[in-house]
Amino acid sequence: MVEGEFVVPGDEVGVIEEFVPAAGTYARDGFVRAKAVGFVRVDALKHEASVAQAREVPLPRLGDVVHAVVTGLRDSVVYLDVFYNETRNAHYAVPFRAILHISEASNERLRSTYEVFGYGDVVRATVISRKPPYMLSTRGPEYGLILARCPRCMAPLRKRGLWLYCPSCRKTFKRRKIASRHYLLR
Amino acid sequence: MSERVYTVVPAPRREAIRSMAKRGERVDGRKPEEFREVKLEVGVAGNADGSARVTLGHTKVIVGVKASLGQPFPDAPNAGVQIVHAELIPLASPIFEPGPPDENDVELARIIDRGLRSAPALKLEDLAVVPGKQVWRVFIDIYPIDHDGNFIDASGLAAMGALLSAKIPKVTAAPDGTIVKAEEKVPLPIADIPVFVTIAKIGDVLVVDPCYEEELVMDARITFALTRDNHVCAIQKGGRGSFTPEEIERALEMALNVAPRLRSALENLRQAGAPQSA
Amino acid sequence: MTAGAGVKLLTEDGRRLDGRALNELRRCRIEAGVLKNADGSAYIELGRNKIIVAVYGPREVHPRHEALPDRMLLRCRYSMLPFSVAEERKSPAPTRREVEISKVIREALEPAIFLEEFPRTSVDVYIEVIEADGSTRVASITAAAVALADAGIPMRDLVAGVSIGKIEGKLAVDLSGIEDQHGEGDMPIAMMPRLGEVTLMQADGRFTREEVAQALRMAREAILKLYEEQKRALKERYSKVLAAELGEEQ
Repeated sequence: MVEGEFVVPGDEVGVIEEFVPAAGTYARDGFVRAKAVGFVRVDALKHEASVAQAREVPLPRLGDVVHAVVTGLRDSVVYLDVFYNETRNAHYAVPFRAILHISEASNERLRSTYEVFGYGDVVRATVISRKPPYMLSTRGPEYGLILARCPRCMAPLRKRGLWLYCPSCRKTFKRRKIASRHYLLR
Repeated sequence: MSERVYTVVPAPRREAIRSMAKRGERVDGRKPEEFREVKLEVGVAGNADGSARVTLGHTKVIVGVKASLGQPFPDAPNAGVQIVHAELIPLASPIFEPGPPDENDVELARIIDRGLRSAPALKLEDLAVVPGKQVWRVFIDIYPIDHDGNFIDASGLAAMGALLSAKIPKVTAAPDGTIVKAEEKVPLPIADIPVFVTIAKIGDVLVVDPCYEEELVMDARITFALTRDNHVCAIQKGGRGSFTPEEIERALEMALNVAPRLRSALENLRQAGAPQSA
Repeated sequence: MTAGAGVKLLTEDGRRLDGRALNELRRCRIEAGVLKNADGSAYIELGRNKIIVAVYGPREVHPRHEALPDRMLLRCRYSMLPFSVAEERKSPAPTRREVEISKVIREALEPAIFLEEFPRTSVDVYIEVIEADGSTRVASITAAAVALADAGIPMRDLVAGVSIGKIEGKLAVDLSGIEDQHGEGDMPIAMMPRLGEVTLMQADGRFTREEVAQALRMAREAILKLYEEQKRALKERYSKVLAAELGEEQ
């Protein structure tokens, strides 16, 4: 097979004697075969044959940055719906359920998740598991709330220094975990 | 339709679309009163007696018409029967779930049914073969296959396209009541060509022919079915919001303005078909 | 199946009603990526058959209790639009026939898919027959494999299918509606073209052992032709996609 050649699943990319099957390929019957539509890549030095996929499924992967809405809170865990994958620029029309443990909510020690998040808030988080149900983390300064509402009057909260406050009922929320410098939270 | 899908429409996107509307702009670059480009193809399903596919942006709807002889309804013994069925199949969108028709499927079918019936599109009395006993039963089946908003107007156009292109066997009833089906095929008796126009309300702004994203953020919608002589033959308000009476009058005016262009594609079809009295 | 019900399916010179030879497929055209909402899609015309397939996923499983801990859940729904049939309008409710065909199509596709790569997710394959003229289940499989590949689902091979029928005592490839109705037997077969393994096989009618062996050979030959069309459709689709991406970069 020639570098750059178009292949569909099942196509022979090379022979086992010559190549190790790498990304987008599998081995069967003495051949390295394509397992997706794409283009052949040959690494002569490493003796690797791979397929650069024309299209990859946009599932969340370990390390991806996602946006999720809080759908439930317990003292020690937060339940969320992941609706957008920032890393892959993919929207999920049917959201993925995800879980955030209190130990992954913040770099600080917390007594309860209620201190840092509210029901219906939107967070920016990283994926820390490989498959569903996805585990999320908001540790680190760029992660946390990007959209939050006042639990009393539902008005969108505004940022004031490191705190959030409600412009209509004037309450200040000092413990909320916010994503610093995010354009949505001002 | 899964309610969860709606709860997570990204809030920033929602705000962006609403503030664009305020400035008279739309996500796909259209003007508020502008209908998308319409493509109408007929004869797309060869086993149907009439069929049409309408493409409206990325929205695609297929309608097939099948007619068969059968009993009339007891309350209209001397008229043919018109039955409209619509199914929002999961093939068309991730937000549609498999299963028996839900309220959205039924609403779509009934809006189209009312518009066609009140115009009327079909001369149902001409579809009685043996009055009181044998009449044509005309099934109009609506199947959206890709969802980019405004299924109602696309379905209405496709339903009319399918009816106008349909051919049924010529039948004659002998004095003893037996029915003879001839090889010859004739068009369905058409009285009027109604078109459906939907207006969405986003904030205080009215926009015609909402696309999918606009439907997700709109407060309410209103659909008018309009006859050839500019009569309203069906109305449906939908959505959680409300309209002022002035807004409804404005919406109707917008609908009346775009209706002739939508109807012209159908009129061309009719002229292309066999001549008939109307 | 009424054998010899008076309908001649072969002419004096051994041709079929539509002029085909016994081992000849009808004209087949496939297009990949025809729908915007779906993650993968395909449209097939095989003779007068017109079928559209959408693939959604891998995505979160609904209802959640159906999720499998170690592999992806593949679901198929084959359905015929009410006006797709030559006879009177079909009721839109799923028939027993459609339920069974949905199952055998799923089991024809499953061997080709690396199900274990995305545990606890689902992939849904929705098949709608717009116009039916015999052999719809195998044409659906041929299109569904293209839609799955279009969605980027990892696969061992594509899958393509053809029906082998018996008309006037002879085996024939790719039965049309009238041949199916008046012939003496129908044997739908689907295979992974590259790997050469059978993933769907059914039959009604009577066949000898030799006929079964011959049917498998005929199917293999026809499936390799369908496979070329599948590959062409995917290639066309991705040359378009790549051209669009290059256009964006400029």
